[in-house]
Amino acid sequence: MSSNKLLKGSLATIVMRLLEEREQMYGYEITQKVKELTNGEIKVTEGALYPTLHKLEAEGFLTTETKMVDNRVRKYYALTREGNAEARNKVTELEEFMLNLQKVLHPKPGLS
Amino acid sequence: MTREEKHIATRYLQDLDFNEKEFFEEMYDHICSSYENRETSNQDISTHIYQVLEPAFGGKKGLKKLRSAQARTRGKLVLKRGFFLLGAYLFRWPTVLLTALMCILYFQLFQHYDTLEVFYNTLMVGIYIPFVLVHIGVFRFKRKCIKHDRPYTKSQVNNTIYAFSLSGGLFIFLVAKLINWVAYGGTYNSLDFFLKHPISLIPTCILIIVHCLVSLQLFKEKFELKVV
Repeated sequence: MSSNKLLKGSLATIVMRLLEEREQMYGYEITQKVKELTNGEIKVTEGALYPTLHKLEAEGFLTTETKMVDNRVRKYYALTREGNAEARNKVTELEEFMLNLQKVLHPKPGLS
Repeated sequence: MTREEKHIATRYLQDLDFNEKEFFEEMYDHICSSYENRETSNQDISTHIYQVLEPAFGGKKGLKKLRSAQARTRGKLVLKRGFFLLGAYLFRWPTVLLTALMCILYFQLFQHYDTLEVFYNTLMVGIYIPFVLVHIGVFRFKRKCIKHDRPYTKSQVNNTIYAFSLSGGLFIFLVAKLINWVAYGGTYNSLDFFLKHPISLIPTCILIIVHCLVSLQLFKEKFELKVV
């Protein structure tokens, strides 16, 4: 399975976690931040990122604001109050899942 | 970025028929940001678009799919607000008070004036006002885009408000037709149906006016007229 497939289910959590820290980011910035944090190991493609951003916006977890930057319009995404709560839930959920996954992948000797 | 590079990025999006403000601006900024931060400094913009960006979006097909999905999402957000307002007029305090007052007013109007005349006047006010206003808005937005030399002439938000405003009259007549088919086996046409059952005119007129008020409020809150 490619890392893209593994990433798919957790992309919304990644986006929300980044926005929790940075308050507001634009699409390209998110792709670069993920790349930077993972030393290029995880690449979020634009084809996956934007549908996730638009879906989260439709669900009311993100709000948008446009600003003029370098003579062009830039759309910034930020978490709403519901989005902040959802981000914390999603991060906790993912952490618990990873912990359980570790248990499955590396079972302690004597338990099997 | 040079003027020529900006022109190539714009042309690329125009060739894909992306002529709605929201999607165009987001994609244009993405292309420019990505190109300005490209890893290979001697890579030209066309190569960057076709070799780096287009595959990342899943090709031209992926971009078009993304545009449709974004239009749907934006439409849903506007409609969600529209239905919230509609619900508020019909069920929520204190706006429901206004609807109740309209009921009393219509009851009185039907007592004192010709039923058909009241109905036609309601149709005129309730359907034509949003219809004219939204058309003017769409025209003004288009004119502004041309004046400021923008590469788009439409807006996803405006398209949804336009559709919502025009849907009112159609919805009322479809409901009337449906009731007519179900309850009376399609005996009357829509107008006959209303005339034979004048009591149905009060809720119909209320719905037309409420729909008009919601359309006007959506227009005031969300209609996009800024192009720069």
